[in-house]
Amino acid sequence: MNFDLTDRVVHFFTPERIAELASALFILLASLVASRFGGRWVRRFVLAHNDAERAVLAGRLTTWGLVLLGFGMALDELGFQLRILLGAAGVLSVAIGFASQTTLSNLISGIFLFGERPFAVGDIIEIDTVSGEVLSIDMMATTLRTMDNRFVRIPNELIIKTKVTNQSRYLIRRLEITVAMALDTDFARVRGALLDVAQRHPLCLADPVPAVFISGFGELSMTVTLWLWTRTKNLQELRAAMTAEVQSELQKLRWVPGSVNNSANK
Amino acid sequence: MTADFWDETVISRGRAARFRVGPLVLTISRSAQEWHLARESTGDAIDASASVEALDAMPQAAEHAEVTRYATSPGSERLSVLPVVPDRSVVSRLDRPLTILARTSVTIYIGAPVWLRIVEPGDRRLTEFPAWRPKETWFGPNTREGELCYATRTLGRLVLDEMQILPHRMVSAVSIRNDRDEALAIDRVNLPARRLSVYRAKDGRFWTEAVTLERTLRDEFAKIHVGDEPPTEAAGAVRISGPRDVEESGRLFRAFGTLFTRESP
Repeated sequence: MNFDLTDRVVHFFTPERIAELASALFILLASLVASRFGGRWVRRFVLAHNDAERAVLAGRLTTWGLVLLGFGMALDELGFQLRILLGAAGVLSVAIGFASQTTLSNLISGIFLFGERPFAVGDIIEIDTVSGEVLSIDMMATTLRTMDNRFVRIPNELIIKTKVTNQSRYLIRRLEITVAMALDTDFARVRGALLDVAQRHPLCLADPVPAVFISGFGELSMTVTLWLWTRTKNLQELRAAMTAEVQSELQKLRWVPGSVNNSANK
Repeated sequence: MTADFWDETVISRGRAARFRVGPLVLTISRSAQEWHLARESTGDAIDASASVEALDAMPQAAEHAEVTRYATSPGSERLSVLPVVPDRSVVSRLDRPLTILARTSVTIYIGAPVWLRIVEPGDRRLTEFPAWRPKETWFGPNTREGELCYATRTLGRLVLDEMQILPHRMVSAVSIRNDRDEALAIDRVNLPARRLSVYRAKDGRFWTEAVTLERTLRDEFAKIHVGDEPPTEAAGAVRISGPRDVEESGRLFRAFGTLFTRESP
C-alpha cells in the first residue's frame, strides 16, 4: 500500500508535470503582482478624472479581474478544461443567485449608485427618516453618521427604491422663517425691519436678495415669510441666529400675537 | 517705526505695535516665542486712518477684540502687514443700472476691500484677513451654477476724483467694451480679484492692474484681459503684492449681472 502511494507520487511528479506546476505557479504569482499594481494604477487614473468612489470601484474591479484571469490561465496551464469549469460555475452562480436575491439586489443597486452618483462621501443626505453625513458608499450598503453621532448602515437596494434628498449638493441654501401676525399689523414696517436684520447679518448672502412677503391669511392673523440665502455650511448657525434676531426686532415693533417658525426649503 | 503700514516693522520682545488701517485696529505684541494679534473694528467703513504706532509695553486686549496667537522662533522680531487682493472674486452691484450703448467702451472705477497678510521675513505667513469684511454673495445664472464672491456696492463712477482715498480699499479701472450692435445693461460687475496685484500710487490710493471686459456673443460672458500695470491715472504706482492666481488673459468669464437680456439702442 505504502509502496503504491509512493509510486503514484513519484509517477505524478514527472519532470513535465513539475514544469507545468512551476509555470502555473509563476502565472498565478505574476497575476497577483499585476493585479496589485494594475488596480492601483487604474484607481489613480480614474481618481485624476473622477471622484474617489468611482476610483476605488474601478481599482477593485481591475484587481479582481486580473486575479481571476491569472487563476484561469494557471488552471489552463495545469490541463484543466476551463469551458467545463465555467459551465459549472455558471450553473453554480444561478443557484447562488436564486438563494441570495437580496445580496445581488444590493450589489446591483450599489453599481447603479456608483453610476448615478446622487451623493458623495461627505454629503449630508436624508433617506427615509434618517439623515446624516455619508461615511462610505460600498458595494452592498451605504453608511451614514447621523447628526447625534449614530452609525447607520442602509442597504443600497433601499436607497434605490426610496426618495433621497441631498442637503449639501449645492453651495448655497435658502432659509425660510415664517411669523404669524395680527391682521392689522403694519406690514411695510415689519418688512423693512426684517430686511434690515437680514442685511446686517454677516452670514446672510447679499445675492440672491432676501425677500419678505405675506404668504397666507388666517381668520385672525396673517403669515409673513422671510427668505434668506446663505452658504449651505452656515445654514444651522444662521437659523439659530436669525430666529432670535427676528424675534428681538419684532418685539421692538410691539408685534402682537403669533409665533416664529423657520425651515430650510428642500 | 516706519512710514507706511506695510513696511517691515521690528517689534522687540515685550513690546507691541498698533496698526490702524481704515476701520481696523490691529495690535501686534511680541512675547518670548509668540506673536499676539488683537483685532478690533471701529465700524466706520469710510474711516481713512492709516498709521503705525510703537507701544513700549504689551497692552491688554479689549474684551470684544478677536485675539489669535502664533508660535515662532525666539529670534524673530520682524514682520509686515501686507495689503493683498481678496481671496475670491468681488461682485460690485451698481446703485443704479448702467446701460452701455452699442459699439461703446467705458471705464468704471470699482472699489474692493484689501486683505491684510501678516508675514515674517521669508514669506512665513501668520494669517490674513480683510481690513473691512464685506458681505458674501452668489454670482451665477441660477442658484445651482455660480460662485461665492464678496459683495460691494458701487456708484459705478466714471470719474476717479469722486472716489474717496481709503487705506483699506483698492481701486480697479474696469474698461467695458461693448462691440456688439445692441446696448448692454448691467447691474453688477464681477472683478476677478484673485488674478490682480496691489499697487500704491503717489496720492496714497491702492490700485490693481487695469482690467478690460470685452462683451461676447452671450450677454453674461466676457473675454477678460488683465493689463500688465495699473492704469495711467495711478501715477508712479509701485507694486506691493502679487496675484493669488496666475491665469492667461483672454479666457471667457462670467462678468456681468445683466438686468435686461437685450435692449435696443
